Amino acid sequence: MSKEKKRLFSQGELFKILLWSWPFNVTFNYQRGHALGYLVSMLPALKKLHPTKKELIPWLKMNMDFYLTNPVWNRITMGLDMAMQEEGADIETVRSVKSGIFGPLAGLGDTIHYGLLRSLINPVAAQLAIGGSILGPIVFLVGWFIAMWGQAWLFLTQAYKQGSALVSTFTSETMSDFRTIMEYVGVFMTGAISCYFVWVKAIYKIPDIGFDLQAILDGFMPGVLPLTFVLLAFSMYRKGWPTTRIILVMFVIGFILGGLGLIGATW
Amino acid sequence: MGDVTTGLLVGGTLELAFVGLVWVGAALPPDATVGTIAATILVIETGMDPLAALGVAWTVAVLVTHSNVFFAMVGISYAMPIADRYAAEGNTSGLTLLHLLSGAGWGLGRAVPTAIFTFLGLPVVISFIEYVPAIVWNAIKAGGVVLGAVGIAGLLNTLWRPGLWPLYALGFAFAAFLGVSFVGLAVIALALSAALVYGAKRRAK
Repeated sequence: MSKEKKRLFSQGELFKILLWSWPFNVTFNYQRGHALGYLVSMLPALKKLHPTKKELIPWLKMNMDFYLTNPVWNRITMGLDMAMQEEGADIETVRSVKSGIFGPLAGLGDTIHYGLLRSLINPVAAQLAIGGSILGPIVFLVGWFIAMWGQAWLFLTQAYKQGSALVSTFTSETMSDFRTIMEYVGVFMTGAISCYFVWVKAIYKIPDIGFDLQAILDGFMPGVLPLTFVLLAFSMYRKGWPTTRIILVMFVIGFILGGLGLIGATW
Repeated sequence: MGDVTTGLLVGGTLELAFVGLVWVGAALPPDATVGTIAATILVIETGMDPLAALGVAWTVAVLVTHSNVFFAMVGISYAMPIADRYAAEGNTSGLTLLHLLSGAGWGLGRAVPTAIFTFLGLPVVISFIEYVPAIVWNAIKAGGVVLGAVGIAGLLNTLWRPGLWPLYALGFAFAAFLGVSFVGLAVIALALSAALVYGAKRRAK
């Protein structure tokens, strides 16, 4: 199998990519999530895989798609992405895999980080600090350092290795099936995140008569507000509006409805 | 200030108070970091009880979150069309620079309120928070969260193929009506898509 085959990226290069990808989270924003962070993190790999500018540009554009996940677990997508490209997956396959995978990785990664690791490391460190021990901050910093770098390294290298091993066994027929399946998964997941990743709810209430707009909307269809906003913006894209105008119009709509006290954030 | 022991005590106490705050997806919890810095300064300067300083920490933390929404979550959104242009031009160094520079939005989100309470003092900040009507904060937040719909709509636009809307509708329905977790969604999506693809192939034979 692919065990004999020489891989394109050595351990050393993977380590450099891991270090390079560290500021992944700094351009996290509402409009495109981690898209720019992902693109910049992948630049060294993309440049190696597509040496000419003409080949590179479509990949740069594809990676500006909305992408939002857990910053540490993101290394799984990166490793898989590199493995798939190395084995000759085309741009639409990679686009679909990325779009299908980021939601589940966000769900799992956030649960492990904020549910498990945070409730393990932070209270221990805090108890030590309350006792006046300088060990408190040290336990906190070292604990998180090991947890985060350890996971990131493991995810990147294993996703790359297992991904290569898996994809290299694909025939052209399995590759084409895989592509179609992932295309479907991507659209399905986009439907799910249209409910989960738009954090808007109705806040209008008249307590005296027990009127609660969100309760009425929930009775009609939960998630109807996020869906409405996504479909509204989608119709603007279909009309061919420039992104800058869509961002502005949608922000103004949200700002006005928020200012009228009709909608607010879910948090 | 040099009072490390008090600093550790306040930091540890507030960490335990804040540990329940969970950052899931893009729901910004109150910014515990800056809140705790403000409270630590206050306790060392006035000798206030650490738990009493929790209220101050909380107020400042909420203000910093508003500031983060404005400078980072909304501000950086406006750098995205520039990134689109650099990507289309193949300008990789421009993309890197833009990433690192607009990352300063997160720095500003924390630095601006920290500077304000350092130079004007906490009482001014607290009265400012009370002076600005809550509805203005709400409007900024609402505008910000609605922007999330724009990114998802853009993704849908690139993934869109004629005839795929039933899958979009199903994905939405499993999330909205049944509240299925992402792991469950992944299983359903893969199984359903594989069944569709292999079913179509079997019929074609």
